[in-house]
This record gives sequence, C-alpha cells and structure tokens, in this order.
Amino acid sequence: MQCPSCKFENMPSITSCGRCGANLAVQTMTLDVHPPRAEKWRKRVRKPLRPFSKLRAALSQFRTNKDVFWDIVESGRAENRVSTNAVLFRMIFPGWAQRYLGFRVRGWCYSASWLFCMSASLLLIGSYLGAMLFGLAVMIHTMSCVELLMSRIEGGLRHWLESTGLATLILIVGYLLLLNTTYTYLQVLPLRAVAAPFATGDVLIASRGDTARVGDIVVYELPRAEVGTPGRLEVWRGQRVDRILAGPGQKVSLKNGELLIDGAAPQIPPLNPVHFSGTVDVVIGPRQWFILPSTDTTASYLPVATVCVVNQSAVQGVVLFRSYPLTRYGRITSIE
Amino acid sequence: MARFEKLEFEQDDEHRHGENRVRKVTDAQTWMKRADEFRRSGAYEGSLQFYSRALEEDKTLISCWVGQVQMLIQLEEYPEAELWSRKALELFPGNGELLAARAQALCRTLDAKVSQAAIDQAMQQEGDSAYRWMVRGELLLSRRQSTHKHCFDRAMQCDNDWLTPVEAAMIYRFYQQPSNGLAYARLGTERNPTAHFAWYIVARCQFDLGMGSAAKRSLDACLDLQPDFRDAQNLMSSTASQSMLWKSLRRLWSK
Repeated sequence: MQCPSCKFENMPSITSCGRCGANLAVQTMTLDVHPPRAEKWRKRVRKPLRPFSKLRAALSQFRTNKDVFWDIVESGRAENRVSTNAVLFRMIFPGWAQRYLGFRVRGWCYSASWLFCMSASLLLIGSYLGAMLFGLAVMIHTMSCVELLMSRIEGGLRHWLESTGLATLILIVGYLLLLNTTYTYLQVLPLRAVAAPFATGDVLIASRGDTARVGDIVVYELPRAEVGTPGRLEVWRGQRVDRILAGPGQKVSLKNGELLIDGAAPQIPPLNPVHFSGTVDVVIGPRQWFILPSTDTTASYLPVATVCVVNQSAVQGVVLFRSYPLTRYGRITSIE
Repeated sequence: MARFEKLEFEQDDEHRHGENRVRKVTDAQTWMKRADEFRRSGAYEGSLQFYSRALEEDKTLISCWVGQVQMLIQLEEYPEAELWSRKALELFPGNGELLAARAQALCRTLDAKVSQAAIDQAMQQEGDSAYRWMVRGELLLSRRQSTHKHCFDRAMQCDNDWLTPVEAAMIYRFYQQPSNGLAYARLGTERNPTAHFAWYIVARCQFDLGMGSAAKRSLDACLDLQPDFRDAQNLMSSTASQSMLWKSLRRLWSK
C-alpha cells in the first residue's frame, strides 16, 4: 500500500507507514474534513488586538515610497550613510532622526510641534494650560520615538530594549529628571487668595535659597501668630510673598499707619499701601528682615508686631518675575 | 455460448469497484481543480470549500489539507489555521508541506520561535518545494532579517507558476513592504500576462505606494481580463474617490 505522504510502498494490512509514520487507514477513518472557522465578530476583534496593529495601520497611511526606517539603515539604500547608533542618538530631539533618514517634512513637523508646545509650556509654566502643553510636548517626543522603534521587529534582548514601553518610560524619566533639575533652582508659585498687586491665578517664578537684599520681593514663611482667647483663636501662618523693607540694624517704626525707617519714609514702598492698625517700634536684629505682609487679604487684621520681623532663614527665595497671566508678564512693581 | 453469458466472475465486481474508485478520485481531482481555480482568482472562501469537498471524496490528498491551511491563512483565521495544520500533522506526521503550512500559521500568530522550529523541520524533510522556501522567507521577513529575499528567489526558481511570485508579493504586502511586493507581483504578470489576479496584486502594491495613476492602469488591465472582478472594481472606485487634499497631504508627509 503506497503511503500518500512519502509514496513509500508498505506491506498490505500495515496501518502506519514504515518510513514517515503516516496513517495509512485515513481513507477509511471517519474524519471531519471541514476546518474550524472563526466567527465574523471574532475576526473583527482579533485584528485590533494584534500587537500594535492599529498603530501600524495608522502609520501605514503615511507610509512613503521608501520602506520602513530600519530597512533603509540595514540595506544601505539611503542617500547618505546612516547607522543605527546615529538614529538612536538623534531620538533625543524629536524629528531629528526622521530628518537624518531623509523624511524631511515629517521630521520638521515633529520638531516644530514639539518646539511650539515646549516653549509655550515654559512660557505658561505653573498654569493648567502650561501643564497640558508640557504633556503634549512629551507625547510628541514619545510618538516620534515610537514611530521609529515600532518599525523594527526583532526577537530577544534587543527587542526588549527597544520596545515601545521602555522607550516611553525612558522618555518620561528623562523629562522628570529635567523638571527635577529645574525645580532644584527655581520655584513656581501659583498664587491663591492674595491682594494687589497680585491676583488669584498669578504664577510667580522665584529662585531658591538666593541671598536676598532690602527691596527684593521674596517668598517667606510668615511667623506664626495667634490672636484671640483660648477656644476662639485665630492663627496666621504659611507662605507669603512680599517686599523686604528693612534689614539688620535699621530702626523701624509704624504708628497710625505711617511707616518710618531710620526716621524717614521708606525709599522702597511696600507692595500694597494697606493701612496697618498695629504699632511697631523695633530695631531689626542680625539675621532678620522687616517685611510687611501687605499682599495678605487679611493684612489689616494681622498682629503686625508679631509677623513683621522675619528670620532670614524663613526666606525661601527671591521672586524673579510674574510668568502668568501673559498680560501682566514681567517684573512686579508696587501699587502707587 | 448463451448459458455462460450470465455467469458472474469476481473480476467484474472488482472492475465495478475500480470504476467507482476511479470516479471518486476523478471527483476529488475535479474539486481540487476547482479549488485551484478559485485560489488563482483570489476567491479563498470558495477555494476552501472545494478543498473540503475534495477531501470528502479522498482524505489522503495531502495537497488539499495543505490548501485548506493556506486558505485559512489567506482568510486571516490564523489560530484556526494553526489548529488545522496540527490536526493534519497527526494524520501525516513529518510531511514537509504541512509543516511549512503550520510554520506560516504560527508566524502569523506571532509565535516566531515555534514557527522557526517548524520550518526548520519542514526543510529537513525530503523533497523541495517553493512553498517551504516562501514560508521560510516570510519568517525571516517578519524578523527583519535581510536573507528573506534569497528565500523568495529560491522559491521562484523551484516553481515557474505565476501564482508563486504573486503570493510572495502578498506576503510582502502583509508585512507592509509594498515596494518589494511590487517587484514580485510584476514578475507574476510577466510569467502570465493573462492572469487577472496578478494584475490586481500589482495594482494593490502600487496603491499602497501612492502610485495612483499606475494603480489605475494595472486595474484597467485586470478588469479587461475579468470585467466582473469585484475586488478590482472596489479598489478602482476607492482610488477615484480619494480627495486631492488627502493625496497632497500624503505625498507631503511622504517626503
């Protein structure tokens, strides 16, 4: 009996082929010869669940006359010499790697959109819009890297290293480090419940731990003050932003709302000419500043004598400028 | 003499059974032929059914078992194709074509390691076929290894049929390399200029590459050969309906 698979002539009454092991009794077996089929809904669901299939389909809409990026690298068909390491290095800046591989328009689209979002987010830092634009910039950068990495399919450690998820993670960690480094030297202060010349929603940019001088607008911790009777205490504390009016060794007197520093009117006025009801007559000690909390909405009720003399260690930084809203962008000046 | 005329001999019974057997085999061959015709027109559903009909008549037709798996793959039912190839391999273990079919199904289900083992086993079996080389090429292509072209070229050398380069082109299209696919599809039209399906695949590759006018010309050639080819008609209408703005944007993004 001839085997249908390998055409080996077997002895009669043998049930399996002596050479390949094929079943020689197939013809007489009761077999279902109709293959299993997938339902329509299952086929519809399967396609999008194939790894990256949707993204790949979206990318294929923009596929060029050239093949995928890595074919260009590996086959050496690019106009200029390109290398894998050069492409990987150029992923630092969105669109750079695409331009390097010859996709100029695509590369410039990535670069321009990233630059726009990044610069707008820096301009609007501290605001919700700035945060959204920053997220958009990170997303554009991730997309430009994913587009390159996605087109490369290879097994093993290299694939894991170049996988989309790891690339995204590295980018996010990179941006977080950048933010952390930035925030080591700068503070971003969105303001709430403040008086003129500030408004709620203003964002100030301040340095950290800078050496302050008389006349600087600083961020400081208000000395804790309690007023009232036990059971009906009012406590003042927290972060404030205001101008240093006098420094160590200077004599300050405040009476009937009139402020005198060393017997004369202050050359640099407070930010807000609010009327303080308390009385102060003090010589500022070493490592102390005199700061009137004039931008506090409850300034007129504050126990001035307690809260105006601030230790230099309570100063957290010097305000550089107001970054938001853009209509009042720039340095802060006192209200006349 | 008349009294001997009605004598029945075993020979006649065997003759009659032999005739039945020949008729059955002929029927199976007919179904196989029909399946092949449908396959060469891109009608994979019909082809699958004819392969099944052929197997109902003769379950030993390994080419039909292979054809079923191939049609399931073309119909994008990859897990079912893998399952069916495994069932066929239980009946015909070690068959090179079935192993190659299983390897292709595994490759499409993204199980590259097992697919590699299957195609290696297929290549070790006796004989050589274009299909084994095509599956090997597909596996290398899915792994972005540059030796895939060599495998497809070997497949072309093994088989002069026009369908071989066309199916290679379809594999390249599946892996989104229409430029490579176009080269093989054109080879198919050179081998048989009257094969409308080959022209259709050429048109698809050209369409993927954004070569709208060239795709239209290829579709015209296809429809000249087979005016009622539905897929070509649909592709022609979608080529025409793409807006100028979208085409311009695509061309711009391609730079």
